[in-house]
Amino acid sequence: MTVLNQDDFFTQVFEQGLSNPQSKLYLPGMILSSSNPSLNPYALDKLDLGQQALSPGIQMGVSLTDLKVLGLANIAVNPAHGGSFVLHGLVTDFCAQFGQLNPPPVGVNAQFEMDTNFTLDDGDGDTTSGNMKVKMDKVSLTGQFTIGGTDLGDIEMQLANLSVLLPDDVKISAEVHFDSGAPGFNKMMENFLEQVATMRGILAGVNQQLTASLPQISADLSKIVRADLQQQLGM
Amino acid sequence: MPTEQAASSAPTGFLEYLLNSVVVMANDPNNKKYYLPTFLQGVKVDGKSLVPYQTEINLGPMQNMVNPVSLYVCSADWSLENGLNDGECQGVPTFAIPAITFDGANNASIRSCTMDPVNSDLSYPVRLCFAYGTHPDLPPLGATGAQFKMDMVCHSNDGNVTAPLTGLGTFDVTFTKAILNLVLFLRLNDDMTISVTIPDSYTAPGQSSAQAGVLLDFDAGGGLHIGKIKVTDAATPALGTDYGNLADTAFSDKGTLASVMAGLNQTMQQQSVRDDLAKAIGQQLTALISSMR
Repeated sequence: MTVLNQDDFFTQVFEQGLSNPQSKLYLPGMILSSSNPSLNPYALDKLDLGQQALSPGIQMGVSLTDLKVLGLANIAVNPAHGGSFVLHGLVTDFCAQFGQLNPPPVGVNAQFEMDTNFTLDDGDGDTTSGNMKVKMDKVSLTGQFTIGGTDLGDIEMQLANLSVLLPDDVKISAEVHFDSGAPGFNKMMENFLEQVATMRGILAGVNQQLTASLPQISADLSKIVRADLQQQLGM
Repeated sequence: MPTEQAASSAPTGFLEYLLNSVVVMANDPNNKKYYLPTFLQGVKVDGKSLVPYQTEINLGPMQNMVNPVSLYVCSADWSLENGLNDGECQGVPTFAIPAITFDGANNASIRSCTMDPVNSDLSYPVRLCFAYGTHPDLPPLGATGAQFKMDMVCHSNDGNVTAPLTGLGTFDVTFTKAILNLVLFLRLNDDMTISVTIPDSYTAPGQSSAQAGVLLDFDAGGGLHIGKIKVTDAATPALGTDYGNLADTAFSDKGTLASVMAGLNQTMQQQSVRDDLAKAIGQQLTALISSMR
């Protein structure tokens, strides 16, 4: 038996708690409990991607509406699933991996997926719309939070940053349907979406929104953790 | 609800955070899992329950505590009983408390909890102060009907008659503003358990002298009071009165009370008692960790 310093000890405690379906701290459970904003799915009303080169010589304005991000609760931080969770004092840096739990929690997408309506604008007043579904593997969520308050009864989880990231070797699979006509553009649009740079551009917008929502997400997460711990510990 | 609020420091690491939580839970009568009186009720030290706690205290010879008049009266009565003139009692009585049962050892709350910088062996020193008598719904710390035994030797002037005299009696003990200072060394193990030891002594940062790992003490104005002294066994009623006077004198003496406290602390500071208490605390903290993961 080895004696640990407090950072290493509690890193393991939380890593286990966040990964244990029976624990009140089970991360997928906390994601599913979040309601302000809801994270299953996470919804964005509108995201404007500006001018995009859909293929060589074809530039269009791309905007997304009714964007839903699914599969956020299929998430793991333990190293066995490629995640990490490190506590330094009261500051925690984490990297969680999506799509690693098999089977996923009930009611949760197996894979990280975006389902959104889109509108393409050729700049001359002509627009065309449709819907796209994009699935990705190897999507990660990185972030940092500080534990505030003085004890578990008034614990605060203060998120400093939260970002969805794609590695270079992510596999992206897109399915596009235009509302009317333009069958040949399906493939063009799918090829466009299946580029890492494109998805990173879309996720940049999602991350911006996440950053703007950090106070609400922090408050909601704090409330969930406090309620769970109070129930567990009788506080 | 306890009348005192425990001091909690702004934590810099999660262990301190957790300890702050322990203090809150231990002092909350509504917390079924971690309320301190409930925890202490279940603790056993040296194979004995803490509540009530049975022990004995040997006070030894009570130097400078005996009223010479009482001793003379005692010897005079003994002489009369033995048909002698001018007998005398030799030396001073030896007092012992062969049986005392304390109640209220769980009537306590945590007043303060301070974590000091980690030791070189990765054990975390934690200094706790418990205040006694903070729960009006529980018996106060004290003892009723404790036994005392008083021994002395009397002999005739010619030395031909020598006899030991023994007096037996009972008394009550009350504590006012009692506190318990406790030092824990916490070790965080890679199997997710917490081991606790209570050192024999510890020198906190900034302090010039060491403190005992366990020490029963008093706040200013507090102390130990012995009363309701009653002699239950004496050879004659006259001697019984004499014993009563001797005991009254002895038990009202500050030196005697200090000896009683020293005796109690000696018992609590035994390795076996410290080990048992530390083990119980370690198990409680480990259970807390388990419930978080």
